[in-house]
Amino acid sequence: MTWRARATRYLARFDRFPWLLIAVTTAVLLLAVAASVVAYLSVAQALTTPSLAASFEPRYVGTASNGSLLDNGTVVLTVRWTVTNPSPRALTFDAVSYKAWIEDLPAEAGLSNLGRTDILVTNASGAHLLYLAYFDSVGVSPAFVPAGGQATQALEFSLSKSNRPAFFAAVRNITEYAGSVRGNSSGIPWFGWTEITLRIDGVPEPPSSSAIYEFTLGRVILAAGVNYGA
Amino acid sequence: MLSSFLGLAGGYAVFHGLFPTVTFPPESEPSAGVLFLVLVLPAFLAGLASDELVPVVLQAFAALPFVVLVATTLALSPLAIGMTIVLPGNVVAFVLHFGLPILVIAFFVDLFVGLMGLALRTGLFARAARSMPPSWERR
Repeated sequence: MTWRARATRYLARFDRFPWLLIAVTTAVLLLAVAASVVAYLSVAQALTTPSLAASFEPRYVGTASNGSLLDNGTVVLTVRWTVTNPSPRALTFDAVSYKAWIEDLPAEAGLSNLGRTDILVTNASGAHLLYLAYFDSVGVSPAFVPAGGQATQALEFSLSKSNRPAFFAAVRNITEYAGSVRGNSSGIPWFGWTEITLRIDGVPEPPSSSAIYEFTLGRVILAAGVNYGA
Repeated sequence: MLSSFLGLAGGYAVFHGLFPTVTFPPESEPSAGVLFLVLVLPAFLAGLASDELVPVVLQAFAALPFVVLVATTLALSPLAIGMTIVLPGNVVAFVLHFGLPILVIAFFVDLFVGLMGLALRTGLFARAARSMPPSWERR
């Protein structure tokens, strides 16, 4: 065997080494790609599959015998959010926005000089005047919605003369009307709308300078009810 | 073949640049360390496995469509389960628009780091050839 043939064999051994490293690197890259696809799919499922059911339960504290609110009374609105999460990612409650309207019975009856602005809503049961009594956006304690599970979060919001006098006065006026005309205020219709933001577990929070789509990838926004506007 | 290898690495880098929070490993923003490793190591290995200058240059160019293909396929992967994050019609434009900086960096890294790999290979071969005993030729 000539030295050239021996050298070729020797160099061929070295020649194989980069290819071996390329094979290993390819395998690692393919694993990273596969792991990324699995992560991306699970985030996509978390973004699209959860659903929200919400309930609004007003309670009048401090009422007269006919159910009308007293001046020192309080309206307590309990909002319950039940999130069903079929995705493989857990979710955590982050923030909620809500609005609640009370049907303005005195305005519908044609009483004037009420000093408030209502929203006219026409639906299958006819035309209704709704008064926006509650609206806010608040951060919530990070309650956990397990992957493939369900969780309920409830918050109470109070309305009284001390915290929102104008809104309280309007609701009180409506309960007084219901109490005097209907005999009680418990049947006054309320309408609610809510939107909640949940964070997807395992998706890091992007810095504030990031593109908007990066924020939307880590957050699920769910809404329930009809938003009749302000 | 080396172009597709570079395309896989570049495509993953572009995807990581676009969606750092959902890649593996998840990061809050594109990680310079991950991008460096994913771009430089494959380019260097590709250069080390190349014989001549021209293939190194050509594979840097040829890797570009593979980069776009891999990044686009990854961005469209939720379609596999019937979900849409980025609209299919917009995804190539999306990848090209937001991934362009990394695409350009990937090209130059493939080119220059590949040339460095080739230079190292040439040097190693020359050194190995010099170390052959002259007596081998006489045997």
